[in-house]
Amino acid sequence: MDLSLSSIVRICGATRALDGASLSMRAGRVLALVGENGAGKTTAIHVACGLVAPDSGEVRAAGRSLPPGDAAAAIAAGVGVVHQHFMLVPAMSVADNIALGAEPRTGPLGLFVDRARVRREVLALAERHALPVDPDARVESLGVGERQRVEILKVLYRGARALLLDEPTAVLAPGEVDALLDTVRALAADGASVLFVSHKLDEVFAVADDIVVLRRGRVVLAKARADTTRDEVANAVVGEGHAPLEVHARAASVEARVALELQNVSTEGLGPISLRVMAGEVVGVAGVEGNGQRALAELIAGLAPVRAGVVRFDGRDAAGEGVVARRRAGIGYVPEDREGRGLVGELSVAENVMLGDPEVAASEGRFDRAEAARRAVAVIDRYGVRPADPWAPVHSLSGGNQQKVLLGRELARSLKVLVVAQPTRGVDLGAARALHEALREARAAGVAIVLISSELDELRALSDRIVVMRRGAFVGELRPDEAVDARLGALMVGGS
Amino acid sequence: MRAAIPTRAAVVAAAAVLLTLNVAVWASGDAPASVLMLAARGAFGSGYGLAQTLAKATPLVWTGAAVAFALRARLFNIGAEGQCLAGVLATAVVGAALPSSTPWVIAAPLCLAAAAFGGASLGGFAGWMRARLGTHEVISTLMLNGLVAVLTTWLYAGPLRVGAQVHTRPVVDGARLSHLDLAVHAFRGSALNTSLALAVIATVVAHLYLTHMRGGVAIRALGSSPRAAEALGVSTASTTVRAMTISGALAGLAGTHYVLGVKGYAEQGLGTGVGFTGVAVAMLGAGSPWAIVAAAVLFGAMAQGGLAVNARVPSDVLSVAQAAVILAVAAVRANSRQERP
Repeated sequence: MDLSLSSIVRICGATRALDGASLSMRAGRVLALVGENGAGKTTAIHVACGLVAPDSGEVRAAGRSLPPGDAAAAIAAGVGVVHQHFMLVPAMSVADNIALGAEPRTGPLGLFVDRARVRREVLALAERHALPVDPDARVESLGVGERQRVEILKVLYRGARALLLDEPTAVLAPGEVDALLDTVRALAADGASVLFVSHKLDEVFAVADDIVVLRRGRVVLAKARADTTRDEVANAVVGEGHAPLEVHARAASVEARVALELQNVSTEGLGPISLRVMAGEVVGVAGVEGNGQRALAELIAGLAPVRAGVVRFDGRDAAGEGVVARRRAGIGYVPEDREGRGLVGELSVAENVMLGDPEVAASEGRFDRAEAARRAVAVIDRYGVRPADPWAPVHSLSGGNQQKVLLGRELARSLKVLVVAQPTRGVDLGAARALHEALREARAAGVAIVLISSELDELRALSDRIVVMRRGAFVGELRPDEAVDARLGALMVGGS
Repeated sequence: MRAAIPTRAAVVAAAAVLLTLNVAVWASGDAPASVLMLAARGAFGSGYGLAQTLAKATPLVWTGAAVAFALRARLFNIGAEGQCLAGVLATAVVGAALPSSTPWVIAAPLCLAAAAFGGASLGGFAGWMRARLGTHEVISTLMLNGLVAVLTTWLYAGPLRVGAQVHTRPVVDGARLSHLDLAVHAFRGSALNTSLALAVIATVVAHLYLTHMRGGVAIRALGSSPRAAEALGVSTASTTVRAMTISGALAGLAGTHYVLGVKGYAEQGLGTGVGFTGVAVAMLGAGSPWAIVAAAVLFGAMAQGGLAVNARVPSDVLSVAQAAVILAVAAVRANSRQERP
């Protein structure tokens, strides 16, 4: 089914999230929507599916105009969205989730859900689109890739013929990405139109028929894939004059001093594991999400109890130390859960930066607001945080700027060990480059860094060696130059 | 967006009062306009009326500030009621125990401290239960409310009774707070006293504490993102206890209005209800000390206005209006939360 957005303007507060953007999805074709964070990709999807009404412009499905801001009408017209964050009920079965809200009725007055029919239809749908699922499994028992299949089946079950996929590969392991791309191609071959949002040009060029690049709410490039190049798209995404992300030559900064040592350590969902990180070394941790990476990070940060084993910082036993003692000893933590674990959303940038000092967070006395502003301005200037206002509440910043504040807060202290998880997730290319540069500088200054990331390019670009985690244990170790996708992927998912 | 909420809440609150009053007065068979005028004149139309409105607002400033303070740590201190009663008891006992010649520079601070201590001990206990045992503060403070109500009833009717009178011995003269009608002649006969000034100052100080002291910033951090606060090394337990202790102290200080300001002694029923109304004041005025004071004055005016029209319509009409304010403001807040991206 064709779905088109014409001259959409959507104003959010002081900014134009979409500024006259038009895009057009055609039946049987995959349209890739590319752009930095805040470029308007998600807003475009929200407008297309009727979640928000545009301030001006029109959405047309199969040639007919859709009423603005009417999600029910959009669904009825055949528009289906797989959101970036899954919207499933973990305690319910796959079949119940797929039918939720659209259940066929049976019995007198339609009092009962016809579950047998749901099950039948789900199996038929799964068969037809080659999306294998167990209709009776509970969603909470499924992995990320399976949950995504359930989400896709959910929109197909409602008869969607125009599918909008918001960054569907962000959460997947390399092997799962390939399977998803196959699914997307198959859906298009079946006559559906697909909108595929991604940051990653590899995927875009593997799957798309047409490519549209958004920058600051405007369409800056719209071409058939065959008529454009990766360089052209990359330049359109970031604007002119940016070099692509590349592997820097590594200076030999690794010192012969063990900064962090874990010996047969275990905690909830982790271990026993052993790991040594030297001062000035970056150890990358690869793995499919949910395989113990978070437990590893929280363990080093002092936020998960050490059940067994030895934890040493600079040779000193620290297994019994809590988060305050660890932070005083120079342990820094940049959690993947930026707003929930890393930053206090309702507090200002200045207050967040100041609280990064354990002497302030865990003691009594005056909160020196002038000093807080001074430290915040240092972080803002160093990393180019926007808005450059130390008293702006953190929740008002974009994801990339929050990440700059978070990493800047930790690096502003004299660190010995830094645990950093997904430092550039959901962050645009410009900010990602600044964050990578900051990590390289910290490494050169002798900080031992544990880098947890699902971006294999990032791991290869920054790490001195890469360890792979699966089911709470280290299952392999590779040098960056031997860590090709295939080898990493095999270790991550437990292949040969 | 966030700054607009108090303004919007105020407009909605005023509209809710006017609308419900009109309907309720009309339903009880009287002319709305004239009754409303009478109520307004009763609350604001004379020096005495205005002073009485402010006097009724005084304990609500204390309890409103108390509930709002705990809310900053995302703790719902529904025990301001019991903490206020504990403050009444503590200040009356200490005030009466002092030698009669105690000068005011000693007596007044001691009695204020006693009121704060009475409320703080209850609030702090509820905070400790939350931090150490995981007992939700709504449950524990609600239970403590009942406990304190029964305890004070028994004390005032039994051990602390003075002869045939069902109240405590009077506090020493040095502990009494001045009535403002000494300074402003128009306030003559009203119960308005310096506890109001103390309440306003305390509300502002409590607000500044949240931004200018490490303990206060920790309270806001815990209220906003408990997991981030934990990762920064903020102690969840001690911050919870601290927030509830300070909140309890503010609620307990409401007792100074009754014991040191109005009555000079404690008796059964003194301070009853202001804790719960304080929850409404905090809902209406959350976020700004001046909004809390304004909300307390609004509720004080409704109480005083209700007395003025009591001869023509039941004073329950004003209770209905109060309830309408709370519902309307809750709806506005819920709505603006949804709109936040």
